[in-house]
Amino acid sequence: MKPNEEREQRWMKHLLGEASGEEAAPAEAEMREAPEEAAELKAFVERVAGWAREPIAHGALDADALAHAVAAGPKRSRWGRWAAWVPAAAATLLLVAALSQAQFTVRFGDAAFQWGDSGAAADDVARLTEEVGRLQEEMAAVIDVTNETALQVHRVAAQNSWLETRLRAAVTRLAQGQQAAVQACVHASMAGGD
Amino acid sequence: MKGANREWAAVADDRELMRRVAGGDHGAFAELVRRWDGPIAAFLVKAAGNPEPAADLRQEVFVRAYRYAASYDPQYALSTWLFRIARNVLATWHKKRTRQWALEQDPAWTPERRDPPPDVRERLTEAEDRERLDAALARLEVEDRELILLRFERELSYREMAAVMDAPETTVKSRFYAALARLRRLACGAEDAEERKQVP
Repeated sequence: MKPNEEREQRWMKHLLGEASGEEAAPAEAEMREAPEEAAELKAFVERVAGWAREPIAHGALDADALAHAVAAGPKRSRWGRWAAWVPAAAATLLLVAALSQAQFTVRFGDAAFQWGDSGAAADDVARLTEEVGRLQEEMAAVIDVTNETALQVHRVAAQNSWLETRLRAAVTRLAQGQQAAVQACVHASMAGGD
Repeated sequence: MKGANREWAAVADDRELMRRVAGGDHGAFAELVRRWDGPIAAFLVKAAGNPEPAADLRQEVFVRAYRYAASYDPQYALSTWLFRIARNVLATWHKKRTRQWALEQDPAWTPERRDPPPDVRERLTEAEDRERLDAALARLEVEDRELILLRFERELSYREMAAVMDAPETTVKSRFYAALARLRRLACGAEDAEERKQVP
């Protein structure tokens, strides 16, 4: 800061009554030595304060528009809508998977097939089913977060995308597990037939 | 409705008013708007340096105040909380406006230089002074105008200003004085003269 700018700030501080006892006396003395500059600075500060305090003309707020805006609530993000159908789709997939298992049981009923007998493949199906369920819960939590605040939308979008990838992978593995279970069952029924 | 207004006008304490707004009381909200619309309007018009968007911005300030009423901490003055919302609304508007402005500008465009300013000590008429001050204020950063308004118009302490500006008290104080100094240089043309010296 240049010396004259420093001096100007000291003077302003004094004019605004914000100079400490130690600062006020030297500032006052400096201002007395340069009365024209001091008067000009004082006029400037007064003009600025006058501008700040000057009332402005303004109409009343539109009460209807304000009430409407308040009643509208926060805008829902498109991610919220997007996040809503993914768990629904996952639930549908699980239902389809469960139905296909039921059909399978009927078809191979004569072979007295038990899921527990399928060994590792059946365990995988159970584990993956659990994982899909857990992912659904996580997705539901994400929906809550999305609805809670629009500011978090980008983070949630990234999280949604990550969850979607995981969900797709889990569903694929579930389908593979089911296929393995079917094969195991076919083998079991064939072995039973021999 | 008039009876309700009288009832709310009797609630002198802003904190009590906010507690009721947070509880979803529309009468309390209407009273909040009645009390604070004027100061918020003045702040927005002067800080924005443009009266055009003030109505929309005012509405947004009160919509946010209603939505986030539950987050108001009664240990702070309501003015601090409301002006902080107003600042945020203004900042969002300013960012959008700056982006729009940048898109509309011709890259080859450069601002027209003003005529050389008269000598700093030259006596100016009041009207000229005012014109110069307005021109200087228009060139000041929005944040600098906000500081000047909070100090002179709202008469907030530096501690309260720090809460509104979300910055340390010492920073706010030094920035306020720097803003005043810059305004003065702009008003008397000193800054233009310095810029001209730097241009080869």
